[in-house]
Amino acid sequence: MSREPLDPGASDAAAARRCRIGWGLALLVALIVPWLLPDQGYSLRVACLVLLFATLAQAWNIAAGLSGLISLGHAGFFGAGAYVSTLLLIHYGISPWFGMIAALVFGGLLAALLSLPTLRLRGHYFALATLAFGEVMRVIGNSWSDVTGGPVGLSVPFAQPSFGGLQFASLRSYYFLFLIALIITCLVFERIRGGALGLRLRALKNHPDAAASLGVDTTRAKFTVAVISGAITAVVGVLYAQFMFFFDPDTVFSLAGISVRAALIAIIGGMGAVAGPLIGAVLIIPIEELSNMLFSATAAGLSQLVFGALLIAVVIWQPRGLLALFRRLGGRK
Amino acid sequence: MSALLEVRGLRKRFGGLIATDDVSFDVAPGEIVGLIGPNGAGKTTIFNQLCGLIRPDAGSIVFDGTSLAGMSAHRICRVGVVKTFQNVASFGDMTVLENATVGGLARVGLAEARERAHAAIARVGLAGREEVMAADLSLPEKARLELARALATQPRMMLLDEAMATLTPQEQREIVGLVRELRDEGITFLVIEHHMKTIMAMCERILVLNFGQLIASGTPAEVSRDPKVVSAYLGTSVQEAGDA
Amino acid sequence: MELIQALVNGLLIGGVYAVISIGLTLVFGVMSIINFAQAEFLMLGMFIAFFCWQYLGLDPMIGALVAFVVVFALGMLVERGLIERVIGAPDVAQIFLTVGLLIVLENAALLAFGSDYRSVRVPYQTQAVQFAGLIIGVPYLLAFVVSLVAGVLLWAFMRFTWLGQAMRATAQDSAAALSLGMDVRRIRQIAFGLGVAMTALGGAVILPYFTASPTVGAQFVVLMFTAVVLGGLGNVLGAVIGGLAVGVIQTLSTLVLPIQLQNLVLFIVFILVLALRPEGLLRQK
Repeated sequence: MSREPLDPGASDAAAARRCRIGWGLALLVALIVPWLLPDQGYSLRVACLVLLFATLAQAWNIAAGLSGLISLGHAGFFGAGAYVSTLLLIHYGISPWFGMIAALVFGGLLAALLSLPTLRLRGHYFALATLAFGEVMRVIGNSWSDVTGGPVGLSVPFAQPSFGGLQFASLRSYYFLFLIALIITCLVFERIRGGALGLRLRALKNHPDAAASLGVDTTRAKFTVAVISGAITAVVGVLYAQFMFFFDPDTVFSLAGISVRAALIAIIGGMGAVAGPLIGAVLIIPIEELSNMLFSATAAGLSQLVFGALLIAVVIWQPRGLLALFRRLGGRK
Repeated sequence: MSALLEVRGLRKRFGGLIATDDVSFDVAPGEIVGLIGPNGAGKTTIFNQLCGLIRPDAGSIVFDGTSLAGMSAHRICRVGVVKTFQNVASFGDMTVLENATVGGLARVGLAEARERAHAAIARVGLAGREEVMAADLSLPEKARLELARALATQPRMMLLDEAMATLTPQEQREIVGLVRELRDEGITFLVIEHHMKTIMAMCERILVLNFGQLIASGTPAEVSRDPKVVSAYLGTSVQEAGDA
Repeated sequence: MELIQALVNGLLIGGVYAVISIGLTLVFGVMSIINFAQAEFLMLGMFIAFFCWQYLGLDPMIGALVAFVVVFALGMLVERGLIERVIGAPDVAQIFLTVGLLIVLENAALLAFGSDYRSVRVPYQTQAVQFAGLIIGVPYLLAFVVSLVAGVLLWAFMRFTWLGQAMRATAQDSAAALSLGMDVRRIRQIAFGLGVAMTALGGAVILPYFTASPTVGAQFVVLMFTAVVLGGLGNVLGAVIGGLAVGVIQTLSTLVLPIQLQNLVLFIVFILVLALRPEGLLRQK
């Protein structure tokens, strides 16, 4: 049975053009949408969240989709970024733009540290270790009150809207900022996937021993994507903090709300492909928000239930995610 | 002429099982040496120690003056020793070109790796199949892909681990021809193969392994007459001995 | 004396943790799958026992038996319908199948039962026995005893019955088991059913001193995994020792640490063991 190449563009010029047109259209839609929605409206807010979580899922996708490093603890980097940036702002008045750089470095360092003991663990064990990492961060966030403010959480100091302070009066500004972040993350993903590192990763996913025998430094390859993934996730945490103005450890280090959600979005959309997290986010976030709004807290569990079932269905019947389904429907073999 | 590969006192045990028991041998540059022995004799274990996938418990492995002991597999590849795997190890969801490019990346950057991949693919006779998914190749094509991948790493020595296990005799002859040509171009070969006729025909020297120990070494003719070798094989199925 | 009291309390709770963890390790041992949804079956066990108490007036210890049977059947269904489909599939499929199951079970419970906390009232709830200067709460003692009995029965089952030995064989080498004519799929089905049923039983017996809610699973995830990892994933005896150890670590750390940090100690133990000795502190399998 012929397996679909991961990069259809490589083998079919017409398909490549269709791909580019598709992306062009998506970009166009993304640029127009904020102007069609009322500026301070709830729907624009949801759109911002879609972009934010798409970026988060893409960051997760870089590690999991490209090299099979299944992390259940990305919330650890996410929350770390939020705290680092916000604390720098609160205590030293440092602009969140620099906060993002600090978060990038800190997230990368955390990922590097975490990689040392965990990279040689097999799939399930690795997932378990990352889960523990995320939860450790959450517990630290809750108990190290002197630094993190404890379970009460942190508020981002409200200031005059300014670019330098990364606070905007208009939701549209946030939207475009997040869009740029998403585009950059997607470009990072594609750059890795299309380059030498991407080839090495695919090789080691297929058969690690054969890859090693052919000269692939498997540890170094995995380490690299782990660090990149962690660093970007931390930056997304900063954006989240600046957007929400308030966060607490249980939210920002949440296993279900951040770690699993990132993975869920990427997997349902289509893991390992750059479009996957986008499709997943566009589908999942609005539905979640809608059901939160329409139903009571208990009944809102319905959307979660559906997504859980969808995750199971995807994993069993359509491992390449909805993206593969769309491709099939779109007539591409 | 000094040996390209010098193995001395190689030892490996797994729990209670001694897989490699004080094995020593040399391989001279440009040789095609065969490694035979009944199932479970420990041939693949030796290969895995030579190419760095398994760490030996004791002994030395010296390749062209460089000690390989304790080196990781990817570094050993860069030193010039590469092992091929059986058909199931091809990177199935990658194209032929991508498979070979991975090998090229062992030494050079992406662009040049692709060039070397193209050359290696052509050398093994797979030209024109670059864009085919490895999983879609026929069995003899997969065997050639294994060689192409390894060739792209610009090896000095290739360890062929049952490279021809699933091939017809005609297909095997073609691979043997290819191996001889590559040897003439400067690559040394160490080969594990179960098809007796093939390995006896292709190798100038044979090492015989049984229960982890080297029990005989010599030309194919010498080795097939050696009573120790015959009894080692008669200890296994009559079928296999009949292959010889 | 306070130390010994804490130690005893720790062992009592640990006994229950042991039973809860046995299930998780049994599933991994036979199928090489980490069931991330395991704690949700604990929650199910709790609710089943709760409803047995509420509508049938059954003591939770009896309810535990009901929970065991019901969850066993449910577990077999889940294995047959879902888990079996990802045996041999890539890690990501196996991991997220059970993660998806976790999400489904928790939210289904939320929808069905609401988010209220439920507790039982039993006559012995506040009773305690005195022994050698130690005070032992009756609910804790009962839970421990029932867990002990369940554990011993399981051990006997694994050791002396054909099916139990078949499971151990499959855990060691499923290919060999298959070639010996064992119906490996059936064995997996039963192993999974048993595994989640044990955890459900553990959830039921702690009902007298623990409140039930759809989200209760989260509190036990770390405990379970730490116990299992300590003893070595797949090692049933290890899970028992791990469970006891976790109970003791937990109660001992309350003596010195504020309550939020209790779990931190466990987490750190957990990560350290995973990092340094993934096969567990007990040698061999």
